[in-house]
Amino acid sequence: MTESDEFDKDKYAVAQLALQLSDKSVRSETNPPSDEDLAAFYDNQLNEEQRQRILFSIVNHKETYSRWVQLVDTLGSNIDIEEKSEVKIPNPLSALLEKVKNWCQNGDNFSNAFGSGLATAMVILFAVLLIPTQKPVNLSDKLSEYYENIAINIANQSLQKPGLADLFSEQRSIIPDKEKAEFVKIMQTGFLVGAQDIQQEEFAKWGYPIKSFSVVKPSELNKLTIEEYNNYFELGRLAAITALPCAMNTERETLIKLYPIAQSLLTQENVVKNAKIMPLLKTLLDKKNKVSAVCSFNEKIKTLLIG
Amino acid sequence: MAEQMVNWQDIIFDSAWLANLDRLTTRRFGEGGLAEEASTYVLECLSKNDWQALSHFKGQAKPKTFLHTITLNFIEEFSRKRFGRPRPPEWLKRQGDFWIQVWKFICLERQITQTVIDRLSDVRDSLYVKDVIRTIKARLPWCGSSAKEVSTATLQQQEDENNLEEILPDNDTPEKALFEAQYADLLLMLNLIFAEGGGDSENTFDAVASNLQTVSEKFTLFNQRLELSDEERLILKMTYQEGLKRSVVAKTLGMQAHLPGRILKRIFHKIHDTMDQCDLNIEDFKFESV
Repeated sequence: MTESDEFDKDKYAVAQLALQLSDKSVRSETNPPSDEDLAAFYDNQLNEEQRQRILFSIVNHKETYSRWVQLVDTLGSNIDIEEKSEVKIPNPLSALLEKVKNWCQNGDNFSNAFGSGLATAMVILFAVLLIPTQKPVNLSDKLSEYYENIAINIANQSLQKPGLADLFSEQRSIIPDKEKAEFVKIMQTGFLVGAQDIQQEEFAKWGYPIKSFSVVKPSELNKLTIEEYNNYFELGRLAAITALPCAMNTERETLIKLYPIAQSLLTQENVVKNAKIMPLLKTLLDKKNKVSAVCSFNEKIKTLLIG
Repeated sequence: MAEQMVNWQDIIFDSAWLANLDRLTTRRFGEGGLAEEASTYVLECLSKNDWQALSHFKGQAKPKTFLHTITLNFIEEFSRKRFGRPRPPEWLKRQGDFWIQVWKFICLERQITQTVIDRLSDVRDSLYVKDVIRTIKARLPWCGSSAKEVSTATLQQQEDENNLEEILPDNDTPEKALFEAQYADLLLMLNLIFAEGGGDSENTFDAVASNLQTVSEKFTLFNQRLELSDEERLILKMTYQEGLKRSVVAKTLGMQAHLPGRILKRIFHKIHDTMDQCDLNIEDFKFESV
């Protein structure tokens, strides 16, 4: 098709006629090009002989042609792996937070008088007040759904097992309240809020982030961006959610479901670059068994909170 | 070529690549939970067994292009696990992969038509995308509305094939019958290209049957005489079967931007010459329904 707005039906019909009448392609071949062959053909990195071989295969073998078209369809569009930089799709809440943050930080008097930490805290509180549902600010709604469903299940299970709730309380109480890096404090906040909610079965009103300010004082928030704050908070909450299933030894399915969530959280840009978090990701990915991977992650994150 | 060590984790966990993954899955499945699930599935598959899926990389292609091809495989695998591997009708398969893709989006996954048009028009003329959708809907009226879309598709396909058998003489060989069936499909599709509003499929079929006898010998002759190189065929397919823009064709085949246009001009010259030799005229296919 031309790039102008002309859509010449006659030309299109002639092309279809020629293509269909002269089509001699067969479905598959015994030695099809590998994924790398096709990628190299796209990258124009083959010598002439190799290029002709791949070209022949694309034109004469339907399966290879399908693979080629799929590659072109995605690489040829604006999804350009080499040239395009990240384009964030803003969600309404983060856009709002950003606006309020800018407003607070740019307001000289406000910022000077109360400091940027309070400004950040105000941003969060202000945003929450504007959102009547007080919906948790998650990485995505999908993750939130997982949290809610799994947390309810864990709470029900733990109620049937005497002693588990106490174990959870113990785990909470051994986290000392001492000087830690800001991101650890946020994770700790997430852990405590998550644990508290599981124990009290208050999933419908996680209360985040208002509750979190009972643990982390606004003046302690200095460096983290809203996105970082969210991610670390969710990591802490995930640690809380994984704590009981790991202790129960029976919740394999729950732990397997939590694996991709842990992976998503740990691979967020602003988290993965943190030297203290990197080993957590490695632990998660190194393990072949997802259940033990999630439980190792849980142990390590608690060590990080305690240490 | 010596095996090349690539730190896949650095590439994959780079925010730009993760954003691209999200865009790929959103483009494939639309906004929402399914796209997110697909992204997670891809990450899981890639990281499985210490990045085994990427371990056979030899350094022939750029790492990111290679990673992209593997990613697409996993996205398709996710789709198959979710939606199965339904068979599109034979006539639709012959139109090319783009048609199958549109059929999947609209008829099976029931994505919103306008969303599909917007999404697929980045590398194509939107009129072409609309025309493909219109043609598919004209031939598959159940498309996107039936709860049992796959079996209905198969029924439709069988119906087409049964009808074709009725118009073929008893003494035809299976090979000839296949050619005739393909010609009939081609005629039907050409008619749909020219018809406004999709046409009446039953009457169209009667018209095709009467025209088939007239043009089938010419088709065979055309098939024997038209000579296109592999590169010419690929450019023609990418442009007129997949509907890709010429700039995309040039970029993906490593050509200068003006070359596909020049090559297409040469291709059409060849086709028209061959059509003249075979006494074929495109006006012959603009037949009225009887």
